[in-house]
Amino acid sequence: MPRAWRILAWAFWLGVVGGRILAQTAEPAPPLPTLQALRWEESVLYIVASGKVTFHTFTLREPLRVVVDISPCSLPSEPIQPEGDTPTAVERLRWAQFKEGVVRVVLDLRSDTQYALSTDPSGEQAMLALGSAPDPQGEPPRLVAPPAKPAAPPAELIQMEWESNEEEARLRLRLSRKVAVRLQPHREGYQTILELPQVKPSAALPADWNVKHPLIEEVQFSGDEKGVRSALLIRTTRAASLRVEYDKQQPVITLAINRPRNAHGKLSEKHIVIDPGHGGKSLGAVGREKDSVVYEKDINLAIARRVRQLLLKEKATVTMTREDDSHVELYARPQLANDLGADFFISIHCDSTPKPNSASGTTTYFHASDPDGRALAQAIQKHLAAVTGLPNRGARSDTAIYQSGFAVLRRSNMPAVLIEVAYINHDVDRAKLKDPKFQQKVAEAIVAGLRAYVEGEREAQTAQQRREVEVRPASDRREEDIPVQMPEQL
Amino acid sequence: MKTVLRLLVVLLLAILAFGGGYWYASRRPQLAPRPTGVTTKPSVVVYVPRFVDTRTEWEAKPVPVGEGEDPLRVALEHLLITRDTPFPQGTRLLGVNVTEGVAEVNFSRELIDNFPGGSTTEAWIVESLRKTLAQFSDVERARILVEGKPIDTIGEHIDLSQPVAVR
Repeated sequence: MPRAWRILAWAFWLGVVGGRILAQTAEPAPPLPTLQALRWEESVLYIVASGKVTFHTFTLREPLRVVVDISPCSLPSEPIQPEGDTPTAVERLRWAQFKEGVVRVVLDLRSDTQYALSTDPSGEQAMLALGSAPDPQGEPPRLVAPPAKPAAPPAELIQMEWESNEEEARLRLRLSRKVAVRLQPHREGYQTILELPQVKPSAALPADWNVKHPLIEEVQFSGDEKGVRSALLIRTTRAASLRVEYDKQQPVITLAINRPRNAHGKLSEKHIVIDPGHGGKSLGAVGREKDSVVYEKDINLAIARRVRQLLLKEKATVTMTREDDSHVELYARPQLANDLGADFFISIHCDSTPKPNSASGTTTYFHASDPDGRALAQAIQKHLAAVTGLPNRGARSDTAIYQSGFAVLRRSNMPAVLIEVAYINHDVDRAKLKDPKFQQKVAEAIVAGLRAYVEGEREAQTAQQRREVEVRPASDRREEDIPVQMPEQL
Repeated sequence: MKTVLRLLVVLLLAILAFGGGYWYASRRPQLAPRPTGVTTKPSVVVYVPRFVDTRTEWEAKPVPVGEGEDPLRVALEHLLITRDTPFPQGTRLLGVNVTEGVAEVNFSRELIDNFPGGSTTEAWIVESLRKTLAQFSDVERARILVEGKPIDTIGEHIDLSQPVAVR
C-alpha cells in the first residue's frame, strides 16, 4: 500500500504545481493600480491610487521614518509632484517602487510623532494623519479628495513708490496681477510685517524706493525669487496705524501709514474705560495651589484699580466697568464705553490653558485687523513685555485664536485691547500675578503704553532724530541682513 | 484481476488528488499577502490643540466609524473624551441636529459649570468644534446649546450669540 500513497502524494503535488502554473498562464495579470497623488492638507497626507490597493504602515528608526507600503501598485509613467505644504514635523517625503507590485512612501520625521492611517471605503485612498502640525488657518482635511487646482505663477512686484505728506506715508506697490496680502504685527516693538505671498521681485524693481518720514524708522524689503515668501518689514517711530488699500481696477496695493485714532494731544485729555474681566459669580480662570485658590477676577480688579490710580494721577478721565467684585454682563462692558464716547477700552484678564504649566507669558489682543487696535496693542505690549519678565507672546489679533474674536473688542467702537497679563495656571506666572509689586509694574506699563500711543515714544523720537533712515537698494542687501521673520516663526 | 482493480482504485484516487490539488492551488489569490495593522473602516477626524511656542498647532486624530453609526455624532462624542481635548471635564453630547446648514450642538451643563477659565481655553473649545464640524459638507454654521438652550458665551470672552461659520 505505501506505493499507492506515494502515487497519491505525487498526484496531489503535480496538481498543486500544475494548477499554479496554469492559473498564472491562463489569465494575464491585470495592470496594477498606480500611485496617483500625494497631497498634504494640514497634518494629513492623502495618498491616492488609481485602483483598489492595500496600505500597510510601520515605523523605522535611526533616522525616524514612517513607511507606507502600497500594494499591488506601481509608479505612474509621469513623475508625481506632491501638493500642499509639508508640515514642519516632516523633514522629507519620498516614494519609490520598493519591489515588484509594491510602492513605498517614506516620511522622514524630525521628531517622534504619533500617526494613524485610515483607508477610504473605496480602497483607493488613505489618510495618514500625523500628530500635531502647524495650522496655517487653512481648510481642514476632507475625507473626499477635492479637485486639484493648478497653482498660479507668482505675481511680479514691478514698482514701489512713496506718496507722502506730513500726516501720512503711503507706499504704492504695483504688481503684475492682483494678489491678497496680510499685515502681521511683529512680536517686538513697533514692527509690522506686510506679507506678500505669491509675489516675487521683478528685475525692473527700482533701487531707490525707500523714504524719510517722521513716522517711519525703516522699511526693509525681503524679496523671494521663487515668489513664496516675499515680505516688507515696517518699523515705525511710534504706534502707527497701518492699512492696506486695494485698487479696484489695477493690480496696485497701497500701504497707508498714519497716526492712529485718538493719538493726538495729551493722555490727560483722554477718557479711558478700564474693564477688569469677570467678577461676582463669574470667577474667570482659577489658579490652584496646595492650600489655596487664586481667582482671575480678583487679580484683574487689583491691576485695574492700580491702572485707574495712575491714570487719575495723570489727570485723565477714567471709568471702570466694575469697581468691586460684582458681576457685569459681557455685552454691557463695551456698551458702557460706547455710550460714554470713551477714547480707549482696556480689558484686563489673566489667561489659562486646559493643562497647568503648559503656557506662560504676556499677550495683548486687538480685534481682527483693526489698524488702531493693532497700534494700541503694540504700544501696550511693548511696555508690558519689558517689565513682566515673562515670555513676550506679542500683540496679536484676536482672530488668530478664534475666527470672530473677543466680544468686548468686537463690540467697542474705540481703539480697544484685551490684555492677558499672564497664565494663572502656570506656577511662575501665578506667583507674579499675586505679588502687589508685580501688579503695580504691570499697571505702570499699561499707562506708559497708553501714553506712548497718544503722545509718542519719547526715546524713539530722539533716536529717530539721531539716525538717518538708511536708503539701500534691495539688491545690495545680503540674506543675513534682513531680519524679516515670516509669520510661522513669530 | 484483484491487482488491476486495486490499480484502478489508486489511479482514480490519484486523479481526484490531482483535481483537489489543482483546485487548492487556483483558489489561492495571486496577489501579495494582505498586510495587517490597517484600519479599513471609514473614518472621521477630530482636532485637538496645543501650543508650540506661542502658536496653536492642531492635531488631526482619525476616528473609525462603525457600521450604522452616525459619523457626526461619533466625531463629536470622540472630541469630548479624546486625549488633549480642550472641552471641560465631564461634558457630554446631549444631541446634534443639522437643519438648513446649521448644526445645533447640545451639550450638558458641564460645558459651563466645569469651564476652567482662560480665553485660550475658550477659543480652543470653539475652534476644535468648528474644525471638527468643517469636514461634514452639510454643516455650514454651528450653534452651541447647553441643556437645549442657546448660550451667548462659554467663559465670557467669545461672542457666541450668533451661529458661528465652520469654514
